[in-house]
Amino acid sequence: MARVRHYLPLYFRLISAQLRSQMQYRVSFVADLAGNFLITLLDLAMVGILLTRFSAVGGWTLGEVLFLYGASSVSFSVAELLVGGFDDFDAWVVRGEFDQVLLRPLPVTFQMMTARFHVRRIGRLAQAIIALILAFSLLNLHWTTFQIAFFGVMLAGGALLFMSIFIAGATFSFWAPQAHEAINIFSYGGQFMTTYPMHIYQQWVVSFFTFVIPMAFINYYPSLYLLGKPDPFGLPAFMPFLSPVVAVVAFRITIALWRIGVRRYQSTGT
Amino acid sequence: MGVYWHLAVKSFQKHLAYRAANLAGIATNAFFGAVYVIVYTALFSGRSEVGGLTLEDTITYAILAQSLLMVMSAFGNRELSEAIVKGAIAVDLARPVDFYLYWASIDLGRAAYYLVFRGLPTFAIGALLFGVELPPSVGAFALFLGALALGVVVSFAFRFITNSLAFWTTDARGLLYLTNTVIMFFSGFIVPLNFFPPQLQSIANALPFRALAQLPINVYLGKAALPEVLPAVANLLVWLVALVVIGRVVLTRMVRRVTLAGG
Repeated sequence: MARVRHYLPLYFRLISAQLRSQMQYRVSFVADLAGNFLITLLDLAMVGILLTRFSAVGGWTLGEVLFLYGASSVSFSVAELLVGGFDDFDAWVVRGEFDQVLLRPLPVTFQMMTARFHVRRIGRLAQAIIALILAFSLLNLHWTTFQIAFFGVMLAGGALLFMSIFIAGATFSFWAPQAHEAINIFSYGGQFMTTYPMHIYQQWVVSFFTFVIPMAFINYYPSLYLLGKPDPFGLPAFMPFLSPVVAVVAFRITIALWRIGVRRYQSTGT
Repeated sequence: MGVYWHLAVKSFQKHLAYRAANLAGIATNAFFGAVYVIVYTALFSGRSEVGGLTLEDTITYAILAQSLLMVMSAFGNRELSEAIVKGAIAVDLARPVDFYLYWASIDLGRAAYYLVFRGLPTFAIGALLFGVELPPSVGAFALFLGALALGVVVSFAFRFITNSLAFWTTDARGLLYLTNTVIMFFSGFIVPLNFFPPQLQSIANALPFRALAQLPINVYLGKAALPEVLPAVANLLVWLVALVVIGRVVLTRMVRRVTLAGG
């Protein structure tokens, strides 16, 4: 607790310093924020256009797909706001900038979280919330208190899973900084994939994204319960409730791997 | 002419150095292509045709779109604006070549590289995994190549103007990002314009961006034969001339008053 009390004010101080520095370029700041909102809005528009034209995908209607999309998008943008600094970590390694991080008297992970806080990323979050509002207005859900709470748990678990993906991507950069773009498959690609109900993908794909990289837990399994959809895989009824457990375990494993990477890091010397 | 050819070749060769990054890019494009294919397959279930496209057409469309993303610089390209902001163009302006054609050559070299080393492998992977349609005739394929060339040039002419904003403001980054959303949406890269609601479709048809994806891909699929394509091409050529003229006017005006940061 004492540690939280120590680092939390520091976190906000560093973030507000970032905010002030980004607001120096006023035109870019506004355009960036608007651009981030609009470019992510295109993904939402895509879902809207396709599901109006085709009416359903894998038996899920526009409202249900918007719910999946909105949930995954909220989780993604929260993760991006918190640990987006890890996203271009390859450049840090290539340019030798990570050496500076190691020299400062603050925990490495903490510095990474505060280093590249891009305020423009709030644009994606705004868009994600719009998607969820649209979904709720189309779906007419009657949730119990437990379901409302579980909705929050799903979003938090999803954020933790996307955070794991970002940090795992940075860890990957210790060994192969040039191939960093492949990480987009799991971060941006993961967000794209989880927009649609998992059962439209081939069985091995679903198994992979359940047991190896557990992206199906970001929104799909919890949504089966929250939307009252039948489980096409006939998995045990507790599957949706495993989500927070899976998220925490995945996050811990990722952090452990990241720490191994940091310990074994050898500078490029530049 | 020789010097511009040389510039294009040099630009092509420069990209050859980033082999690992390109492999990762191919994997990413192919992955997104695969997800699109599966989503479209699920969406079509039972339908034979939507917006003039069959499922097979749409699969080919999705794979081709992923293959063309980098060729057309669909995510934007800030090379020129960064050179302006960093002051590196001071040297470029002093060169005894036309500044506009200098950057055009560099961009064409880049497009050629991505066509061969990104587009073709991505398309081949998509074809192996899901099967693709071939153009209905040699004529259609030739027309497709022509449409590709037109798209590359339109893309450059538009991006030259938006990149030149860096002459006017040192923080053009955000503005470029913003204009890029428009390109993405109205080019047909995200969703085929065939699936757009009619009002949006007519807006897209009036804009030049369909030259980047929608037009070449529809020509490839044989959905737009020569008679139908001609008005579209005429429209795009007018756009192209306008974009080049605007780009050159912006250039001469800005160069006259530019102060470079040097460095």
